[in-house]
Amino acid sequence: MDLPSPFSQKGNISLLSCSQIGDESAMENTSWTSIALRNPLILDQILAQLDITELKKARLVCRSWREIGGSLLGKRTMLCISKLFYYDGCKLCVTPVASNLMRRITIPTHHKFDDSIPTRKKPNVIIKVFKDLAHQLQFTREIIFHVHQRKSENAFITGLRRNLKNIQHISLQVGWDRYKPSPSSGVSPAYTKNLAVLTKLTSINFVLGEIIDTYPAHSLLQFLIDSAPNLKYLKGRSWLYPSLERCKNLKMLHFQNTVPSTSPTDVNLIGAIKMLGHVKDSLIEMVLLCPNGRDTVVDMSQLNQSLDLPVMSKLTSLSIRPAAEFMFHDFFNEDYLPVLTTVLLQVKHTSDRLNVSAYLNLWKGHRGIKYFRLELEEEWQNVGANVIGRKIVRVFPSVTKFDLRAWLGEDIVIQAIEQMMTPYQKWELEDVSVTGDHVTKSSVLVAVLKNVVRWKGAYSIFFASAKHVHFEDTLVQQREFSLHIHELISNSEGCTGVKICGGYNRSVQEMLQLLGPIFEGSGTPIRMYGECGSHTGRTPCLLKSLL
Amino acid sequence: MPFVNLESSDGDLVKVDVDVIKCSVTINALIEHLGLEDDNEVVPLQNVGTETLHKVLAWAKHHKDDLPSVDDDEDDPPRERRTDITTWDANFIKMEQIQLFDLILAANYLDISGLLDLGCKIVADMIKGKTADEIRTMFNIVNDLTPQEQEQIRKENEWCEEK
Repeated sequence: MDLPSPFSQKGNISLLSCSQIGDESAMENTSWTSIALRNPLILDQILAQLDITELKKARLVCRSWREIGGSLLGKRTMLCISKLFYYDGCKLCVTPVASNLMRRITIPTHHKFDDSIPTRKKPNVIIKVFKDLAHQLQFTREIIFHVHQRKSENAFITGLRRNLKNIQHISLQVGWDRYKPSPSSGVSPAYTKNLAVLTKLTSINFVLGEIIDTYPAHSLLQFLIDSAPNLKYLKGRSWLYPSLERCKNLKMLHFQNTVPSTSPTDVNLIGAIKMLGHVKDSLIEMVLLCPNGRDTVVDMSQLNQSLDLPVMSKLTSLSIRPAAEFMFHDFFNEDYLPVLTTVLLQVKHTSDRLNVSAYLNLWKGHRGIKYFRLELEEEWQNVGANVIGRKIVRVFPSVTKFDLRAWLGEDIVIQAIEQMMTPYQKWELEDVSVTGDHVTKSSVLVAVLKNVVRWKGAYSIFFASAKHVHFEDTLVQQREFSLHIHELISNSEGCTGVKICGGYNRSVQEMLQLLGPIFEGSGTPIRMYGECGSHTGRTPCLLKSLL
Repeated sequence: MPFVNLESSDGDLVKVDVDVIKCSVTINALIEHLGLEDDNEVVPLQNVGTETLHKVLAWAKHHKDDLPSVDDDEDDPPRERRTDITTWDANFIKMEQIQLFDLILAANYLDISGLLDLGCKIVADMIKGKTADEIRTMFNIVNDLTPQEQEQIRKENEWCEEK
């Protein structure tokens, strides 16, 4: 857009008298802009339009821009609080910062501290944060804290008691060296006195490192939960299910049951059910996860016990990763999940005893499920995907929106794809999204497309299908890709969007330049996304020149 | 159709369809409060000149059928706002800087969020890509920061990380 030159206003100086805005100095050229820019509401709205780099630059204009820019910056960035500290040779010193930058703070791991600080002094930095910055911490709404030592954890709890009363979000990442094995250490002294109620605390993210296996780490989570009666969002990773008895307003729960390194890998179903019972009348969305990459053991005697199952009266969305770990008997049905509409199940190749097929047998038909998401992890072809698919279609007969994400790596065979995808032809789908991960063969792309199109074909009379197919982390070689290009194009009809993004492959650029125009010219909805350099397949950068 | 008479700071009277100016929270509140039933009733706008008032009305007329905007949730931290400017708005807002700031002040006084937003976006576009020094020159802003304060801002900026 053509904007007037900043200096062209001189010619219009006579206009100044046409308005009542201004004061004695109104005749000065300076006042026109500054009247508007001196208004903090207007300046705030102008600066709010800037990206972070521009905003930082704008703070250098003058004091009022520093203040208002700082307030906006404080809301949009995290202040790395350890950067404020340095060592002058004999003591730790702090550089104060503007209070409005303290709104969101992060206390990182020790290795990110200033180089001037000797290792032995690093734990003291955390203590100083809560002591020397006590006044400014009242402005803090959000804190991310990497807890590594009990000393710093105690300082944090003291800070919570005294200065962090306005905190809304706490994110704790408890590192591996926090509790060096000392099983007899018992509960940290800081827990002996309860916290004051943190009424504004609505969100907790608690990540417990996998190697930690002593009790106090978990009690830190419980301690926080118990002080937050208005908690709405809890994302936790711990090896015990917490008690949510005091969280009567919890809406979203995302919990990963991790495994202590020294204990047998036990999935505690009773603990999980008990936890759900506490929030049965408020929880809307729930994600349950089990540790990745390990064989877990379910104590089968739990399954035979009659559990006191809660009716999750408000739960609309349930995700289970992996599905076969959560064998709650008599729970997965319309009686206990009356308003459930969305289900995500992850299928992993696990032991024979814990297979998805057996898990699906626990579901009685649920007609309320409209949106189903299925994630097929590596080696899914060994779990009988066709049988699973048929069961899914039977158990959730009313699905209209389907997201399928499947690992389609090197050893996948075309026949397995076909068998896996066939059952869903029976659904009366309206909205479909398919994502293929780690695709290495273009024949796999073709096979997926062929089968997606069949989904539509089966019910084309009843609905207008909106299908999206994504292939991520593709390693397909250019020559091999060219072989199937025409087949790909002809099979893409009926799909509203097909996106292919390359992963590690260095030839992705060449492939895009060569094939992009062919796709475009053919009128197919296939669009090619690509990326250069590092592997960030899930957020591909868009090559605009090809679109 | 009901009308309201607006008097600019220059003393000029402008008759306006109430439906057009309803985008102004200030005038809307006045009408509701005072119940202007008499067509001769005059609302004085001490902070808006005639030329600016006509500009405001032109914008309001064009946007008269827009849906009211939803207020931002206060709990939600503001992110960089990105909505495209329509061609009509882009042409409308092509004006001298002096008039642009007049319009912004009027939009702020009359509480017309759409117009204020448009004006602020244009000013933000003028800021983009410029150094602090260039911004000061462009808007005739006096630098009241000491070199130490500037150094402190640079440090603070560096410590604020995007997340």
